[in-house]
Amino acid sequence: MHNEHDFLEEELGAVVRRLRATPASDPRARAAILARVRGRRPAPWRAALAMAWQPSIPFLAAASLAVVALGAGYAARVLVEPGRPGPSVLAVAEPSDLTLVPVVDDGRVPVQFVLSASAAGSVSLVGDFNGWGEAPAVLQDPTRSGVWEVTLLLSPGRHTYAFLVNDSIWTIDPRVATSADAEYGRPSSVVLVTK
Amino acid sequence: MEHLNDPDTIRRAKAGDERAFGSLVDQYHARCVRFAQQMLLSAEDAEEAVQDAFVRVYDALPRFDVTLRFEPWLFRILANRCRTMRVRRRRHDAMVVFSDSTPDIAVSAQGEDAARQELWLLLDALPVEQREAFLLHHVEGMGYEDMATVTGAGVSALKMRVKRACDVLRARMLEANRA
Repeated sequence: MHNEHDFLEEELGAVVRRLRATPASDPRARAAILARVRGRRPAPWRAALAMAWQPSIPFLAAASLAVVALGAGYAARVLVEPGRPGPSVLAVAEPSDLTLVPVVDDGRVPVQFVLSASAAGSVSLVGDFNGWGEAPAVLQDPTRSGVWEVTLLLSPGRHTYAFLVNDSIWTIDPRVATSADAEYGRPSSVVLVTK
Repeated sequence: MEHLNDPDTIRRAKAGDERAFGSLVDQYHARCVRFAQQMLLSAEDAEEAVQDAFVRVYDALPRFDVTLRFEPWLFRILANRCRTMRVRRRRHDAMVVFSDSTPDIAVSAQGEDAARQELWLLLDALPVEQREAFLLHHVEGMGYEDMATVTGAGVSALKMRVKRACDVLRARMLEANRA
């Protein structure tokens, strides 16, 4: 019994020593990290400006309301006009321009995502901008018309995304281009956000 | 546990000095990869988790309190990325019907790194929380207070997780020895 105990402690110690062996650090991986962070911080003059001008909470609230109002207005204009979705589970809405005018000063732009899915119980949005589902954006269908929408603030640039219907069905946006560099080997949709 | 002896590097990185941040990456990258690989049991997922973690560290550094210890803070972000990666992988595995992306642990039993696979199979026997506590304590050499910072769990719970992990590993090794 004692020998068995000693044996197990020795074995466990050996496993820990082997686990402690540090893998070689790939210089290309380190370079990739540095490439990703390059330029992410605001320039010093912008940081100083931000420090000097701290917007008040009421101002932020008003700005947020403005964004929501603009998004809602846009949704009404784009979504009410197309005909009702067909009987299919994932019927296609009319093509529309996804880019809106910028109304916030941090460089992000409100972008509306729309999916016509008359039989869906829920629709969420996953993309590179939210960690592919780390914090999925939930689309709403306030009129119960089967047209789901959400408006997000995105940084200018190219973003890839997909809809998740009923938390399980990966669905690309039928209105826009499909990405060639598919995430997880599945197709995703592309939106180009411009200022 | 290895400590960063140059708090000035952290201050400079916090102030936006990319060279200083590069020094932090150089210093911690290998250990982060080790931890992520042993948590995720996939070199590919680990690389992505580590990269994401360092980007988040860079973004969050301006808010980092330099009077606190850097390493537990870094590992907390990394551990969160590993958890997120596991969720994504589970979701991915659940959704992809015809998948050709089998986890590394399952495909390379005959590969060159058989020793690593053997270790990973052993780690795979541990529930994730126990594996995390075991690795932080026995491999990364962290004390329980720092582990509490990393995991958000209490010290007594962490001690129990480490003990249970050791028990599971001993049972596995005993089973293998008797076979």
